[in-house]
This record gives sequence, C-alpha cells and structure tokens, in this order.
Amino acid sequence: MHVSDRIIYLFLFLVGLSLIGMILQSWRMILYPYLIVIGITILIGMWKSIIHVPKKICIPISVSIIYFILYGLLDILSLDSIADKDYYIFGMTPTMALYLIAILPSAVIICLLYAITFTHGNMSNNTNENHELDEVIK
Amino acid sequence: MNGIITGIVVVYLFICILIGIWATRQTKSTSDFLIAGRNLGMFVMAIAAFSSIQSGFGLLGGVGQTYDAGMGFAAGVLIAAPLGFGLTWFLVGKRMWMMGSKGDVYTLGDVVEKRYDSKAARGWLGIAITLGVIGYLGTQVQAMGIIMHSIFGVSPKVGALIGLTILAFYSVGGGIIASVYTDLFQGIIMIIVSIVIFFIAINVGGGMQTITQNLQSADPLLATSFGTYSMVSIACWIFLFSLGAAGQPHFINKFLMIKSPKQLKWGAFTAGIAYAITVLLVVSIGLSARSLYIQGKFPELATPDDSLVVFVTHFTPSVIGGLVLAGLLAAIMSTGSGFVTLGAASIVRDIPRAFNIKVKNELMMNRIVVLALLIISTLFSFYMDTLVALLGVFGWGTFASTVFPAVVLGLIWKRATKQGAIASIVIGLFLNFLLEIGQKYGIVILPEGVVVGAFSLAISIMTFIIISLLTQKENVRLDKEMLKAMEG
Repeated sequence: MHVSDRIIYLFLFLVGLSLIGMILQSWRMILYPYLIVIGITILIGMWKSIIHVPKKICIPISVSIIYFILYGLLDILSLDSIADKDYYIFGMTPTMALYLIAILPSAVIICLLYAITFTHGNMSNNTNENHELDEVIK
Repeated sequence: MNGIITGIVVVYLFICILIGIWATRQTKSTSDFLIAGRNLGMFVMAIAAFSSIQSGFGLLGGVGQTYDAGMGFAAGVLIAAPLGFGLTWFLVGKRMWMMGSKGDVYTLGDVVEKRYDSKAARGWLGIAITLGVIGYLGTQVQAMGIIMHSIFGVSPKVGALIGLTILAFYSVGGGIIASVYTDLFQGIIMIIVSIVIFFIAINVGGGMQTITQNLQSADPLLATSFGTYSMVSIACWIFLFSLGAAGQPHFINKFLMIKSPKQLKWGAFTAGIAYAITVLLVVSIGLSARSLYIQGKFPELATPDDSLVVFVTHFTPSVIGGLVLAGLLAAIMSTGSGFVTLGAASIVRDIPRAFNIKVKNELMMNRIVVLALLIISTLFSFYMDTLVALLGVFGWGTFASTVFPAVVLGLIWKRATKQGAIASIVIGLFLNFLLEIGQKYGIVILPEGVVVGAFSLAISIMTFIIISLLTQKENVRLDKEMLKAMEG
C-alpha cells in the first residue's frame, strides 16, 4: 500500500472520529483527533523534503505534540477557571492568556515553518519520489 | 458622524476608485481579468489572500460576537484562520501553482476538469461556487450597509448600494487585478489600524486587568478563553476554519496568480501574521466594549454587530475612528471583489464548459456577470435577517465542504475519482443548504452546538474518500505532468 493511501486512510479515520464527536457532542473527541490531522497536513506538505532528509518527519510530529500539550493544558485550566478569580497573567485569566500568548502565536509559527522548510528545487524533481517516500516511511 | 471620519472614508473610497481605473487599463485579456496575468509577487498575493479571508464577518461580526458572549468566537474562528493559512500553503501551495503552470488554467473548475478529466465535476463545482458566492457576498453587502449607515446616516439599504456601486466600478473594469491591488491597499489599512486600535481599546477599557475584572463581575465565563459559547461549537469552528481554509476558492485560486514558485516561500507567514494582528482588534474592542457596558459607559445596542462602529465613534479619536471604519469597509470590499470575480468565472467559464459550450468574448461576459452577481447578492442580502457573523460561517462552510475534498484532497491523492469528487460536492452543497434552511425554520437535526459547516465538511471528506475507493475501476490514468503537480 502506498504511503499516500495510508495517510488518506488515517485522515479518514481521524475525521470520522471528529464526526462521531460531533454526533455525541463531545468537544474533546472533535478537537483531539483534529490536532493529529494538523500534523498529517504538514506531513503531506513536506513529503518531498522528508524524502531527502528523513529526520524532518519530526517536524509534523512535533507540531501535533505541541498542540496536544497546549490544548491539554487549556483543558485542565478550563476545569477550574471560573473559581480562579484572583490569578492573572498580563491582566488576563490563565486560559485567556494561554490562548492569546501561546495558541495564537503557534498558528503563526506554523506559517513560519512553511518558509523555513520550503525547498523550491523540489518542484522540478521527477515523479518517482512517491515510491522513494514509501520506502523511507516503511 | 463627524466630518473627519466621513472625510477619511470618502478619501479611502476615492483611492479604491483610482485603483479601479488603473486596473481597468491593465486588464486586456481573460487571463488578466481572472488570474492577474499570472504575474503576482509574494507580498501582493499574501496580503490579498489575507484581505480576502479577513472579511466583514470576521471583523464586524467577530467584534459583535466577542462583545455579546466573550472570546469563544475568536477562539474558534479567528485563531483557527491563521493556522489555516499555514495548512493551506502546505497542502496546495505548490500543487496549485504547478496546476496553473499547465496553461489555460484560470479557475478551480479548470483544475478539477484537468485532474479528473471530467466536465461534470467542473460543472458541479461551478454551481457550488456560484451559490456560495451569492450567499457569502450577501453577508458582505449586509455588513457594508451597517457601516455606510453609521458613517453617512443613510439607510442600510442605500448605504449598501453606495458601497456596491464603487465595488462594481472597480470589479467590472479591473477584475482580479483591481481586486488584488485594492486588497493590498485595504490589507495594509487593516493591519495598521488593528495595531493602533489594540492599544487604544485596552487603554479605554482601563487596562487588561480592569477589563478582565469587569467581565468577571458580570459573568466569570466572559473572561475565559471560550466565553459563554458551547465548547462543541468552538471545536467545530477550529476544525472548519483551519482545515476548511484550504477550501475557500477566493483564497486558493490566488495560487494560480503567482509568477514563480519562489514567491510561495514567505506567503503563509505574511498572510498568517497579518491575520493574527487583526485578531487583536477584534478581541480588544469586543472585550473592552463589553467591559464599558458593564460599567454603564457603553450605550445599549440594537444588535451586537453595531458594537464595533459604536466603539470607534464614541471612544476613539476621529482620525482613528475614520481609519478603523475605512479598514472595516476595506475588509468587506476586498472580500466582495474577490467573490464577484470568482462567481463570474464559474458562470462564464466553468458551467458552460461543463456542457461543451465555450463562451465567446469571455472578458466582456465576465464583466457583465460581475455586475449581475452584485445585483443578485444585494437582493439576497435585503431578505436576510441573520447576524453577519453567522451568515459568514454558513458561507465558509459551503465552500469548505464542496471545494476541500474535490480540489485539495484530489490534488494529493492519486486514487481519487471523479465520482468521489462529484458526490462530495453535491453532498456538501445540499447538506449545508438543507441543514441551514432547516435551522432557520426551526427544524434542528444536528445536536446542539454542532456547526453545520463542520458537520458537512466531515461528511463530504468521508464521502469523497469512500466513493473514490468504491469506484477505482473508473480512475483515470494521470499523465506525467499531473503526477508532478500532485507531488507538489
């Protein structure tokens, strides 16, 4: 099975989980699978780059892990944020601060990652590289 | 409204007209009208992409929703959008550019027909985009009416007509060239204004901690990152507005306009950071205005959508107020101009070609259809009574669920078939319309809090993959050039 097929099946599975989350009204079941989808999306964009430097696969994995940590922390903080009325970070409640100081900039950092990992030379390479990627992932 | 504010807005509108005149002179062919002659640099494309995504519903509706119920809308919609820029560049940046390099590719319909070798897929996508354009453009018209009403004191309908006349002037003549260069001008206004107003709004509110404490005194939830919104809705918005960004045709067709692949490199970062800056405007005004209201210092509003205009006219210096309102009009008009050109391309190019009809003098026909679309959207908007932000979510959802699977996944996955593409477009389109119309008339099928667009996007993605797997015998053999484009 080609790696692109595997990625699409994983994508299908995760989107399916999010859909079940919607039906069951479980926001965690919608959000957490989607955080893996973000990593998969970046993996798809970096395919060619990863072929040449397989270690780069840690970039999409790290993005998903960082988002898991950030939203996990937000989840934990949200559990008692209403009672916590006396603790402020830059004048904001901890959850608000986490969102505006960490989660919003993370989105911009992902945009920056595109520039950092961009390899223009890739656009003229041959079509056999998908098969090479299969081998790399295997 | 005082003279300084009115003056600034009039100057802004005049500059838009001048850009329109210049762009009309530059527009000599269909390629110029639809893809700016495939000659855009990174900065122009990225700011145009940001401007077309940050629209009336993001700013006007975003401030309204934040004022009304706290950070939830921003946490779900506005913070997901910059992430959407990054994901879209990763997913389709190079792929769309390479599709454009195949020649005679001006629209997403062209992309889909070449990918699946299917005129039916092109036709269905053309219909979906046309319907989405009419609905989404309606939100821009509605938002424009609110702003013009506030600035010039005319009725919202007359205000919308004034704005639309100017929009029509530069869009009919200059097509996408007018659109991207007004987007550039408008985008820069939005960025500058957002930075300035962020500090003013926090200052007017008495500092961040005072704002937070005032919000907590009224309702502790208002000071949290999710406000009083349902967590299910926020999770749905994050999914819809980041992944679904890659399905916004007025955004991804801009990849067809870039002159060389080198220009892709810094585009995502430029667009993402620009959008993130405008989020500061939404959050600061929304929360500060609500804090002032709790203290009895902010007037009662007829609708939360009025909060931005009331804030800048009552609590900021006139020059800043004028620039903010000009920036707001900029957001609305930049999105609107992108939409009408897109809709015209679907009607003049994609739908007729699906029936083997090639329209003669495409350039002239595009101009006529741009005008017709503006009129239809105006009529549509006059019969709508929903809040701008919610209408915008509906428009975004329609595009995401119809375009994302067929175009984005289709450019990634070789086993995608035309049957999968058509099924996902049709299901995405009908689910969005039926569920939204049902909700409007009290027929609620989805569980509470679930966003129709997110649900439709998930279903259409699954439909696309499953139907493609079931119809593998029909899969077309892809030529070398197509395979190369799909590898990105």
